[in-house]
Amino acid sequence: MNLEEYAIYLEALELRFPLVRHRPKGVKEAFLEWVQPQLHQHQKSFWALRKISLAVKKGEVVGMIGRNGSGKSTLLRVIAGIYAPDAGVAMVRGRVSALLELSAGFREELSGLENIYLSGAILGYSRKDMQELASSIVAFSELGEQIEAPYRTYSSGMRSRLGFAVATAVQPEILLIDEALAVGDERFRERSMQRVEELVRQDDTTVIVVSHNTEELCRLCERLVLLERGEIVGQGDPSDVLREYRQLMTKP
Amino acid sequence: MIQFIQNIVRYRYVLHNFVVRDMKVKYRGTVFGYLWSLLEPLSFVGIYWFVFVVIAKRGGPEYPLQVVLGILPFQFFSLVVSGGAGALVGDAPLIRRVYLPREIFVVGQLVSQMVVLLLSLIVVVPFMFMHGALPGWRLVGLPVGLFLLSLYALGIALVLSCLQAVYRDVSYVLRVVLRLALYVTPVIYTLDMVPLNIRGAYLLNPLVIYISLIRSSVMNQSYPFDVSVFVYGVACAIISLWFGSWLFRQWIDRAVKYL
Repeated sequence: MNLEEYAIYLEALELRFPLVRHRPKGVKEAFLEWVQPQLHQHQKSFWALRKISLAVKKGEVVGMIGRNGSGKSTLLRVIAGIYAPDAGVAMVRGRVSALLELSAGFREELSGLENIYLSGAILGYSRKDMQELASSIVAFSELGEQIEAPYRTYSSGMRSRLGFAVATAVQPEILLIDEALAVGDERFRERSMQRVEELVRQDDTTVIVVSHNTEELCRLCERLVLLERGEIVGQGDPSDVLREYRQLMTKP
Repeated sequence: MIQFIQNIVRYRYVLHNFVVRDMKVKYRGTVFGYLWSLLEPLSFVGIYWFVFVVIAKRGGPEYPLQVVLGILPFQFFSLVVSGGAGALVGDAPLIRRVYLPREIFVVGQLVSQMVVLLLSLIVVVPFMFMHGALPGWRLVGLPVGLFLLSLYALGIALVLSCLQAVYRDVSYVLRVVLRLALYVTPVIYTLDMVPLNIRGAYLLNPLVIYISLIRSSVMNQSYPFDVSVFVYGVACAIISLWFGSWLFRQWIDRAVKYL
């Protein structure tokens, strides 16, 4: 098997999270966990992702669905490199741009323009690179003069528009989108959808979309992945997977 | 440690942005702005001069200069360690959402505090003129001392940043420990006031070496310890960063899950 053709290759990936309520509660508990770790291991964590195997080819567009808390966003974060798997293989090839939360890197006290540079830096672009991109980002975000105002003065729609403009302007090799398409007003939503479709059409951009909007997923994706309780329970042709998903949703 | 340095170099634009952001936040909404970086150490000098010289009748005419040269580097150390320890927790929203080498957040604190320190060091100049203590060739010891102090502080901050992600108690413990460190380090007094019979044990604290080095370098006085002590200080700085970055790498993946 040739791994080179995959942009994302996950195999038997597992991720455990500590239970918040099982932060050691006091000195006594902390001490006991320290001396008898094996006794306390089982109750300290839960599985966020189990047995995840997923191979995404370069240029492929894959959608992820599943109910709230099924692990979709967590999986995106593993792909983005934020969480390291506890077991299994996670191989990601290429520059990742994540629309995990549109305005993740933005700072309240900086202006919109300064935030463009900061986000660019976070995505690995130098100031010079960003100078070339800045004007198109400002244009796409439709913020106009407001781009010089501090970010804290922005409305939520303006924030999303700026975030979306930055994340899609930088020509990522791998684009992760987490329910980010539903931003701004009707008109901007249509434009952002078009922008994503442009990226999707580029053969070298690999895209993973998480969404509850089935219509949107069908429009964009070649393949869907269905997650349930941290496991992949189905994947393949969008219409087949959507049927499974609907069945799953009727169950409690 | 090599990978650690590579990450810093590769993400230097982010680092630069973080530092600029820190500076903007620091002085935002203040009337005096940058002046606070000078007024704050000056007020400390005033307090210690009053207690030490006026009340306790110790120290000579050079005391204010000695104190300011102790306070500034110590405060730098203390802010790098406490700020660095809180760096991951403080930037948790960002760390949970985008991938960046996590070292950047701790190193950002170091660089920001270094900028503040260098700006504050200007207050030393009038004191030097007051005593006619003009800088000489020993001034080369100043960057050396600051560099060693930075490495030492960074190593500690890296370890504490992971610990504080899991146990938020760290910040409280740290406050007590740093207060203690202030008194076992020649900040408000000088190394030659330390009794000779405990001098050996006293010098085990590498902060003593860095701060004395910085002070003597600026005041152009002979160094109050010999070469072997200096070598020990260099070793402590390197080991601190080496061990700190190693432990950070071991712990960070687990620590991130607690953010």
